[in-house]
Amino acid sequence: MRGTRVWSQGATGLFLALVVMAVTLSPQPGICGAPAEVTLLIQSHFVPAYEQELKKQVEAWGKQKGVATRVDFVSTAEFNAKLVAEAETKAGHDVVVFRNYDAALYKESLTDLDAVATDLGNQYGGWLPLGRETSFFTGHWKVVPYYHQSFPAVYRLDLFKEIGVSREQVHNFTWDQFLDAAKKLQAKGKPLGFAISQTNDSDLILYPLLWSFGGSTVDKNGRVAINSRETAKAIEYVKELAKYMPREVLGWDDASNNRFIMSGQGALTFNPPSIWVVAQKEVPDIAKLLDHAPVPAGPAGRFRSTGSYYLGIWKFKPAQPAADLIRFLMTQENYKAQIDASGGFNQPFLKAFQTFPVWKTNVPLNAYEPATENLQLQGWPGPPEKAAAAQKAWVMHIVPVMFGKAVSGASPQEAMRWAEEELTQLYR
Amino acid sequence: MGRGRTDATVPVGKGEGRPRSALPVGLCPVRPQEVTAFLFVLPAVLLIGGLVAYPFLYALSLSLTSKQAGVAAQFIGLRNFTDLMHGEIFRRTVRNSLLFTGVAVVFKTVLGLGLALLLRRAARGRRVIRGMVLLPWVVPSTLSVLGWWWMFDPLSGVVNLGLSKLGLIHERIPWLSDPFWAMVAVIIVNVWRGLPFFGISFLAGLVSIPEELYEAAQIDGAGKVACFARITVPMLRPVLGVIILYSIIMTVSDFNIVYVLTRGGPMNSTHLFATFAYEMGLASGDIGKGAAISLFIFPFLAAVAFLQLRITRGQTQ
Repeated sequence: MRGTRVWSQGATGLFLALVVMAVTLSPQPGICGAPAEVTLLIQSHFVPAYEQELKKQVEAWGKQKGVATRVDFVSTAEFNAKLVAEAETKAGHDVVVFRNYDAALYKESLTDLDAVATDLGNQYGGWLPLGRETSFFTGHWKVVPYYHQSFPAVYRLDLFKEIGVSREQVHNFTWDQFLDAAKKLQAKGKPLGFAISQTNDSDLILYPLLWSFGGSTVDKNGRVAINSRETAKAIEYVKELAKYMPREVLGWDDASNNRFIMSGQGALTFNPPSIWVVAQKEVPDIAKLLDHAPVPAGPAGRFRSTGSYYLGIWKFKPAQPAADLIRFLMTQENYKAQIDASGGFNQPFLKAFQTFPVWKTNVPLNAYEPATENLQLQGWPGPPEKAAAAQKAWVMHIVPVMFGKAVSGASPQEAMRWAEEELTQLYR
Repeated sequence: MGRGRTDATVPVGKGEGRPRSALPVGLCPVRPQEVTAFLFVLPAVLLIGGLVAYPFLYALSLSLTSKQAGVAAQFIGLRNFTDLMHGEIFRRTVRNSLLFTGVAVVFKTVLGLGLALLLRRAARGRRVIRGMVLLPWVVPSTLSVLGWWWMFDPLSGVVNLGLSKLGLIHERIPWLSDPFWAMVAVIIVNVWRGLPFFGISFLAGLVSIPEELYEAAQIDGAGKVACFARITVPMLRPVLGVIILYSIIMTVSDFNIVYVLTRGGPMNSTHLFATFAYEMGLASGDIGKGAAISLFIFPFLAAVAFLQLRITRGQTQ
């Protein structure tokens, strides 16, 4: 009896061990076999109607091809982790949306899309220079530029008129005139404000401000160049300007400036038209007062930065159905429907698409697209081989933290030395 | 029986007289009970091996490489660690982590002890009160921290509004936009969330102290303070040791609170190891360096764990 009990206990233990091994070691569906459906991974959009349109188009393509489809929207905060996980596990979606310089980071894991990008460029008037600079690495189109969403000024026309500044004047602001307006608006109790914090929106306005004063993180050869007289002037300017903005801008996240304008408390911030689009539904009284204007000019010119998105295919996924889906989404008819659904929020990289009527018929969007400023991404003017370092500098918010340190009391030299130390590590 | 084989009935050492399996010399005899025990332990060993040992060793190997997302790793020795030491953000992260952990654990210990003493006294509705006290600990942290994020909002947050109504402040506190106040905010939320665990754990220790000790002390003329210092604290020391050790490990590796409230800002003033490792390893794709950041604290935690368990064991004995 005792022996029987002992062996039954042993068998139970063995069974449990086998169950654990079976659960942990069994292959997961979709990894070993052929993909049952074609899937698309994309960052959640600020305008829900665009997501519906994209889903509709992907489903329509699936019906044409006789395959099941799925679109997965992932939040901004989780998106990078998702990309790393897919690249490392070599499992994931068939078509993946990449952002900014992601193609430089993942170029070794991406299928070359030369034929798709070249055909689209030839068909639709060619690509904007920025599109090629952020997609073309090691002699190949690693991704296809999809759309971007740049950061002009979004402002309350009524409040600026009240301080004696016309629409035309706002559209031609220099940073000095901008500072004068900031003083008057603060005195009125309706300040302007933008994030000087560890958030993407902050990078997207502070880089153009830095460039417009002649400063930059690196020079054309990719050498760290942040510690300069021009950067010091930009820092001095922001220190002065920050006196007339809410103190909280040092802790703002990407949604704070939206609330700032939509609550009626703020007169101006820098953002794509998502505030305007959402305000039309939620606070129409504010929406009808909003307009967009180019970024103010500095001594070195007028710059705008942008958040950019690209369509790519992992090397470990089958290229053909995915490349066909990319071509489908980029046809003029489909692309226009996406732009319209986004309320003009999405901006094209293909020159022929810049003439779509949505930016002309909607007066508040006149200055949004096409952008009249020098449109650049954060690594500018560094070379493409330094794009991965530029992406890291952006993710770690080196430029906003540099400005934030100065606004919080550090001298421009201290702030620049700090940024130089960190950038040198990243660009080594 | 030839040379090289042992007789099953030959008495050997402590196993004298017990039946033994016939086995070649040099091999330990295995009893059925030992096989059973091994099989019962095997799932746990596999789980710990798969979920703890393997990830740890993998992270260790990654930290010694220049691994980037989607690119093959190259061995670079300790360069990730030396590079990190030269960066101000990392040095700041180390300072933040020590400050955050030190202050939060002290507050949780002191307040937790106070909470436990109060809970022991509560007579009516004891169970309901104890259940409610646990709420901050059982609510998913992301949800509760989002609530705090709203409460700290400088414009419409209830914290500033409440302090202002009470006449305690005359201008808004920049909770999440000033380096000092941001650190205060993340510590407050960590203490709020961890306090129930401390309180309930200490309560379990308190109720196990025999009442006779207090009665004897009171007969001898000891006051409340003397009872607390001479009976409560010494008797609670083993619980204190384990809970504080556990809390140090959980606090120093906190992620959710900082990530939701400040994302390490403003100006990196609230970055902890976990948030900075996330930023470097997952957001930037520098997996090797991210692994190095997350492992940096390991020797310190191992030393703390070793010392604390040693002290606690000594006291128990």
